[in-house]
Amino acid sequence: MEDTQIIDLFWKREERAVTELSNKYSGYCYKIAWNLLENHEDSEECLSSTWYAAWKTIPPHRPSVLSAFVGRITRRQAIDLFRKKRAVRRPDTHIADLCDEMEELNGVYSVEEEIARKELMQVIEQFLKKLSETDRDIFIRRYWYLDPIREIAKRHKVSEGCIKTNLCRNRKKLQRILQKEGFR
Amino acid sequence: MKKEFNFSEEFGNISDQMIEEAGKEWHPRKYPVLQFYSRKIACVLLVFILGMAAFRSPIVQATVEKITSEIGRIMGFQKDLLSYTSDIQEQSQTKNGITVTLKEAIADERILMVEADIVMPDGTLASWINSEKTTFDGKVFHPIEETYSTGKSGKFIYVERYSEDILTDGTAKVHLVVEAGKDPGTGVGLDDTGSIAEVAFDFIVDAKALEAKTRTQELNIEIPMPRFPSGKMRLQELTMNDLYTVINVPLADEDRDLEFWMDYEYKLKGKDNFGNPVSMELQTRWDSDDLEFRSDFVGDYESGESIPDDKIQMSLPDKDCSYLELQLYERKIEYEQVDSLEDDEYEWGERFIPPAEENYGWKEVGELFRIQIDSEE
Repeated sequence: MEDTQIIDLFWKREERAVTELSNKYSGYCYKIAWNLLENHEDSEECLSSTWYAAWKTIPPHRPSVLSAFVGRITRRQAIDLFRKKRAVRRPDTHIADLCDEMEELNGVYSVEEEIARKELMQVIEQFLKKLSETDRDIFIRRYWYLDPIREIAKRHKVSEGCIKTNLCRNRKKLQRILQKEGFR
Repeated sequence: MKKEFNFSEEFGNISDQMIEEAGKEWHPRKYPVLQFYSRKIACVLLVFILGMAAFRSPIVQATVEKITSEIGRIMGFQKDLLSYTSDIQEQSQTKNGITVTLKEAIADERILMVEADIVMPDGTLASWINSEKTTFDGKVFHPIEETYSTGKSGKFIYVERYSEDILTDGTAKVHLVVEAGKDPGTGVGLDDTGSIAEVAFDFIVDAKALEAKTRTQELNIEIPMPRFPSGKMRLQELTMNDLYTVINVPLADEDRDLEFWMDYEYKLKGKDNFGNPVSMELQTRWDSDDLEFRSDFVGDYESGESIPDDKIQMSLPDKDCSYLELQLYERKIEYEQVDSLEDDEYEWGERFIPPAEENYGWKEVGELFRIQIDSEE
């Protein structure tokens, strides 16, 4: 079913909207959740929360890209759940590495939060736009889709070492930019 | 008051388009416009236009068109490619004031070369093939490399290279979609690609003549390659025709994790026994994890190099030569870091610097060696 038809079902408040959404995007969302949680029950829990959140937010929302909309909800749910679980369970190497890499990019808002958040997003998007097509894909696959290095290496047909080097170079680049723009 | 932010959360809010794009199957990087190539085309066109002025007589002009492939002439191929051009009817289409005339097409299993003349009242700035809408026997193939000219001259050559076979038994029904308009970077077209006119042409390409004149030869030659863990590189098989030359380089297991790959580039350069220049760049194969040396459709010119109009030449051996004399060259890839804050605009990134050293930074590796070409029975 086309995305617009699924969204129309949500707007008509037809319950099969959730079934159609799940039929189309459960694989996509499950992968995002699994990449961070690596646990079937936890990933399924994220998916249930995603469908529920979609039901609650469409309407009033009318997502322009449905995959990004539901993927974003799943990602947020997975991060929240991961934080709760991390307190009691040590993450495996892939997740620990991923968290360390993302923590390198944490920073501070020096002005009012809402304004700073918008500015930060502009800086990050500008950074991504200026990356080459390959580098941008690698960066987004790693830090948005939370893919393991080996999967990104396979996707780009290069060694894992190449991907690590590429990500490291671009993290440093982003760190420099964040610093220049007053976010660090 | 300062408040910490968490990157993992903030990064979740990047644009839907970027998320969607990275969510798709990855298609290898394309090389849409080679700046040098555009310059090169512009130079050749000057020669071409002057030539046409001298041969204004319709009879002479017709003769000229019959004996020479324009794709071959404009791109600087030594051999005439006319016998490889597919029998397409010259077709013209006009849309939004732009007229596109399909003139010539040459195909190989993994290459499509097309020439089109474009007339646009206020000057066409760019034209390209829409690879999402172009089909071969109804199937879409994503090119791994695209080369085309951009200029005001109105004569466009497009070269598309694919990772899969686009032909079946040497032929295919092509539905070619050509876009013409403004430079995509300016965003002044009807959509964000800059396209003003989209026109489609249907024709059949036939690669049998080219395939019949393509020769392959087992080589199994080992040359020194100090940066490989094994210390050597094996040249396995040579493929030559009048469009390109390729040498396969299978990798030993110990050489597969090539970390240095991002820092160095390699080429084989030399001459055939007729004195034709030969140059092939080392690149990864798209259908396996191995490597190959492959000739480039823009010849062996360095970015920014200035070439006299009458000296443009493809670096390709004559397929009927008796030997190739080649030398392996290595160059460290140097990038210039751009990192400045000017006029409140923060600029950063990396720029390739053509080395100012002798031979543009290319250094010989090992000795000159000879590949003897088997005589065809």
